[in-house]
Formats: sequence, structure tokens, C-alpha cells
Amino acid sequence: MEKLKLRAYDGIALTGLLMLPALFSTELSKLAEQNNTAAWIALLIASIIMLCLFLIAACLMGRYEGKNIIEITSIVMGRPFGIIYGVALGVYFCYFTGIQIRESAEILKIYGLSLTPIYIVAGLILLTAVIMNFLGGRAIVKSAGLFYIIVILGIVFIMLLGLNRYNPDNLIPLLGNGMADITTNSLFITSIFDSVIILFLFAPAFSNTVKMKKSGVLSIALTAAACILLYLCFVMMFSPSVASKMMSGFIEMGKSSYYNRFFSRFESSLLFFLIFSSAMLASIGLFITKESFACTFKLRPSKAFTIICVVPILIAIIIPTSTLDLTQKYLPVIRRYSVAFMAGFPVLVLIVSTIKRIFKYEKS
Amino acid sequence: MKKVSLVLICTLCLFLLSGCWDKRELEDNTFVVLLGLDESEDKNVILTAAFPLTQTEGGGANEGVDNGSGEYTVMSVKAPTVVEALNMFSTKLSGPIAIYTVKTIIISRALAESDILRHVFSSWRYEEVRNTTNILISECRAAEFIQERVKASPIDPLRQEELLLEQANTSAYYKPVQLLEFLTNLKSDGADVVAMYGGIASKSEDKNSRAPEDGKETSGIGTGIKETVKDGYLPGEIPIQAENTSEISGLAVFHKAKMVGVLNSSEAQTYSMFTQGKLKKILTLPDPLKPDSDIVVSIMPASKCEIRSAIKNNIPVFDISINLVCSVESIQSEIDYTSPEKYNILTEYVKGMCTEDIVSLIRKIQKEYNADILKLGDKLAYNFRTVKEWEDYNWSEKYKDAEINLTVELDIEGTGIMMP
Repeated sequence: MEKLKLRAYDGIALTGLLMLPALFSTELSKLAEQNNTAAWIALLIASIIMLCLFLIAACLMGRYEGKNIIEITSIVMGRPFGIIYGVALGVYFCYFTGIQIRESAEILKIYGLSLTPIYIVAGLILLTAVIMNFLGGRAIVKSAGLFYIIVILGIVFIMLLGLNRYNPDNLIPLLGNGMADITTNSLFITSIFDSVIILFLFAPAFSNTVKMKKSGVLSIALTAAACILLYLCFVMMFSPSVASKMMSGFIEMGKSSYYNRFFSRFESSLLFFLIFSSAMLASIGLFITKESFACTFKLRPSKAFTIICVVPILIAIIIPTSTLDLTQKYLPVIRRYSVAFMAGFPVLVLIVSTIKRIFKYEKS
Repeated sequence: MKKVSLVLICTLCLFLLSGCWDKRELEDNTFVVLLGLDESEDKNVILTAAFPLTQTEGGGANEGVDNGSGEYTVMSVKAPTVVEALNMFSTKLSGPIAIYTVKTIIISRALAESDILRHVFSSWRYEEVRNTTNILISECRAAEFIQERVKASPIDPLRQEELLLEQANTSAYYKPVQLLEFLTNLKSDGADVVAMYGGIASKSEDKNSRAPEDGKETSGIGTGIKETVKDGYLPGEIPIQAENTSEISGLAVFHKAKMVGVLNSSEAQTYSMFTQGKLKKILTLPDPLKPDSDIVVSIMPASKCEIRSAIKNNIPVFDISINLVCSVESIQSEIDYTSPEKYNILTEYVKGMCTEDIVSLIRKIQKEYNADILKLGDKLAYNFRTVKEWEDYNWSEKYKDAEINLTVELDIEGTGIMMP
């Protein structure tokens, strides 16, 4: 595993860039479709749930200072479980990265590159990720720090662009489909924030667990704030019934912004943010995949190893046969159900560790 | 730093992709300025487009035949859908047709009253359709209206359209409504929508010497008879003598995705008092103290109108409060209205006139058209907690019986550049 030194901001940038690109693609529309006017409440609840899960799971990291989650799993549950978890994490991030690259490529094709073959677009994003991984973890961390600011600026920019079109009446009735619906959906959309768990993989890179916790908490808070504010702006601009039918809410907001004939039509500039964020997401995703496998099998990451990790990502990119297939079948896995694995497993390890401790204490 | 720069270069290379497959040379494209929609007798769509003449190759299309005038030309084609019609234009053009430059989509009244959703809403999915395009309903066929507009400005209709839309910010004889707002409200449960209304005036008729209609005090410019525009005009009625016979005046009113009526220019100005901020409505009124003279005032909303809603005995009740400011532009009688008594007389008089206009507009849209273009439904929704409760209430059925209480406040703030 590559030796890194991470500050709290580096952790925020790395995890933020894994979570925020969802906003640039189909997620805003999906939220509008499932939660109507109340998606922002569901997002708020989901972020609080994720925050609790993260803090609970972080207790485990505090007990094993200087170890990452795969090593801790091996210690607590035995080496076979450590290997299974490490491989599962690596495979999940292959899938996560591949599907997100495919989604970004689909959006780019729809809004800007209609005649370019989808695999060329996706392939070039992946190529950028490979080059960045060749440059090493430090380069990725430094770039993430820079691009995180660019992505945040992009979100602020689009929110400001629509100021003259916002209609707060679109957010009414406030409770959307009702409290029961909000509660159920908020449990599912917790998955949007679950990438923060990868901080447990880089725990040894932080000077102490407190810094890692701080990084995770701030990352969830900032991502939740960005998601909620952007969703509110999106629905205030389009109304939930129209918003739910749009491919990319982010780009559509730029497409519909209009102040006067000299200051309008911004969607082309918004594609910049989409490209930057997807290239960074691909790089970080590939890096995590590599690190998971390397840590599990105690390997030293090399360029050849990077290329090997690219293959499953490439497979994940080409699995969906169409946009419909992607949005209906493959995206829900990483946006609705992944929290069970991402946050559930560390919590399970914590429970096992606690039970073991109790038994040990009783024995002694 | 070197590594970060390399990463930046790699990422930026992605932007060069569009040069490989998606490049579109400017001179190869046919950029449409105006797009018109009519419905043929066999329920197909007749699409009319105005674009630069240099892009055409030869005469006309399937229907409507090219009627080029100056630098721009108009072409019509009949097809089952809008997108297919756009594709069919390529049989007559040297380059692909680009509709993302369209400033205004013109829809004939006949289509707006029948099946607008089938053609317009279904085309929204098409990638080149822009949400910022304006919608205009034409009293006549859209093809005829476009031909007149191109004839009016054969060199640069694009600029003409842009300036025309900006004009609405000052006169409010019509209100530009963009495709996004139009389609969003067309499908909404809580509100209805309006669109600009246009038409063609008859050329042979001398409108300036036209006799007044029954019950309407009107006459021609320069004919010596007293003129008032208080009752408003619809396209074709405006007493203007000009080469350009296309006119935009008033608003088309929609309810449940169908056009149900029109508001004339005066009603459109009154409507703008509810919705827009800096529009002036010019009123020529008989002087309250000397009725044979006129007094001209301009009225503007002082702030956004306030709408409060409640449900009493299952009947929706609205309290609408409108604050207006008035500026006296001309006093023919030269009576000094600055003394407190006379100031109050004038204030109450203008306020009464405005209230009358607003009440008459509300009555028309509520009782006659049953169209919620004031978006009262959006305000009433605040009384409901969930979407289901709101949908169960069935607002569109209750709108006609809603109780609307109006409060109009008016201050005379300006007296022009002279003391009154």
C-alpha cells in the first residue's frame, strides 16, 4: 500500500469528489421522482443517519490506531474475513468507478458529444485516471484538493445562475409524499454519502483518528449542504413533476438560465465541471481499487498493477447496454443499496470486536 | 506542481474530443430564427421556419412553398411530428438545420385550442429545443405570421425579435413567456399559463379612420375624435398604419393545456401588475374635476403583489394586496393637484380606475376562462402538508368558486418634469 500523509482537508476533498459528481448527473432527477418536494428533507435525514453510522464505525478505528479497516477486519474476524472484505471493497469500487464513468459519459454524449462513440468518451476519462494513478497517490491527493474547490465553485455558480427563476412555491406542499415516504427513502439515499467510509482505508495516513473523524464529519456536512441546496434550487426552477423527467438537472439548470440576450446559455461551460469531476472520481476510484487489493494481498502498487485494476472497471463501463439499463439497473446499486455494505460491514466488525472484548474481559 | 499540471493537461485534452465527431461548421448550418406550428386537416403538423436565404437550395418544400424576401426566407413542411418535419427540411437545404437559435416558436390559435401538448410537449425531449425560446400564439396561421414578420425586417429578423421581446419590459402590452415556464405550467395542477398573442392586421383597411365599435370609445389618430386605449386592443385592432402588418398585443390564456381565451393589451398590462416589477401602464383618463379634459398617468407596481390564502368552509379564500405607484404625465386642464384635497381626489380617482380594471380582469379569468393565471393555486398549496392532500382537494374544480378579496393601495409619487 502506498504511504500517504493526509490532512483533514485532503480527506474532505477525496471523499467529496466521490460523492458530489452524483449531483451533476441523473441523481437530482431521481430524487425529485422519488421524493417530490420533500427530497431535501430526505437528504437531510440521510446525511444525519450517515453521520451517525460514520461516527459509530469510527469508534472501531479509535480502538486500532494506525491500522486500516482491512487490517482491523483481519485482526478482529480472522484473515479470511479480511481477504473477503478487502476483495469485496476493491470489486465494489471497480463497479462504482465504472458505472459512474459510464453515467458521466452518457451525460456528456447527450448534452455535448452526440456523435462521439460512448466508449471513446468513457475510455478517455479512464485514460486520465490511469495517467493520474501512474503519477501516484500524492499527485491524486494534491489534484483532489484543487479540483474539489473547482467542483464546489461549479455548484455555487449554477445556483447563482438561476436566481431570477427560482419560485419557492414549487417546494410546496412541504412534506411531499408524506413522512412515511420520506423516512423510507432517506434510508436508501444514505448510500449517496457512504463513500466517506473509504477514509477508514486511509486511516493510517492521518496523524490520528480524531483528524480522520473531523475529515469525515466535515465531508458529510459539506456534501449534504451542497446536495440539499442544489436540490432546492433545482426544484425551485423546474417544479418536481418536470424536474423528475430531466436527464441531468445540473446541466438543465444551466440550459434554462437566462438574464438577457447577452447573458444566457451556460450549459457548455457546465460540461467543464462534469468532465473535471468525473476525471477526478475515476482517478480516486481507481486508486481506492488498487489500494484495496494491494492492502488485502500485501502487494506493492506498480504501473502493471494499475493496468490490471483497469480491466474490471472497463468491464463495469461496458456492462450497461443503454442509458435506461444504466439508470434502472446499475445506478441504484451504488446510490440506494451500497450503504448496507459500505457502512454495515465496519459496524459489524465493531460489534464483533466489542463482543470479543466482553468475552475476553469476562475470561480474565 | 509538475504532476498537477500534467493532470490538468490530461483532463483538458478531453475537451478536444468534440473536434473529432461532433464538429459543426458555422457556415454549414442553417440557423432558424422563427419556428411556426400549424396543424393540417389530416392532423399532421405543418412546420414553418425562417432562416437565412443563402442556406436554401432552390424553391419551396412540401407545402407552403418558399417565400423568400430579402436575406431571409420562410419555408414550410408537413410531417407527422415536429422532429420529423425538421429532418425533412434537409431535402431542400445545403446544411443541417439548427433550431437552438430559435427566438420564438409561433403556434397557431387553432392548434393551441386543440392539441398543443401532442406537438409541443413531445418535442421538448429533442436535444436542440431550448428552454429559453419564447412562445407566441398567433391568431392566424403561424406560417402567414412568420412571413409577415420576416417581410417586416428582411435583413435581420433575429435582432428584430430580440428587441421586440425586450420591448415588453417597458410597455407590457404582452409578456414574453419562455418554453420552460410555458410547459411547466401547462402540466401543472396548481397554475395555468399565458403566452404572447399576435396576429396580422388587414392591409386594405385604413385603421386610423375606422369607426368606433359599439360600446367602445375609440377612433383614429389624427381624425379629430377623442381617443382612448383603456379598453385595450387585440392584434389587428391597433390603430397604427404601417407597412409591417404583424402585431403582437395581448395574451393568450391557457387552462389545462388548452387555449381558452385572450386578454387584450390593456388587460395584459393589468395582468403585469401582478407578476412583473417595473412595467408602466399608461392610462388616459377624463380629468376628475374637468371631465372634458384628459389626464394621463403611468402606473407601476410599487412592490410584488401579496397573496394570502386560506380555506374557509372548504372554500378557498384569497386576500390579494397590490401596491401601485402613479406618476402624472400630463394634465390638460392644468388644475393644480398638489393641494391635499385635490391630491386625495386624484389618488382616489386613479385608484378606483385601477381597482375596476383589476376586478374586471380577475372576473374574466376566473368566471369566464376558469384559468388560474395568477397562480393562486400555488399559494393555496401552502395550506396542505402533502402532495396527496393537495391533489385530493381538486383545486381546478374549486377555483371558479374561490373568494378573492382585493386591496389596492396607490400613491401618486411623480409629477413628470413639471410641478403639477
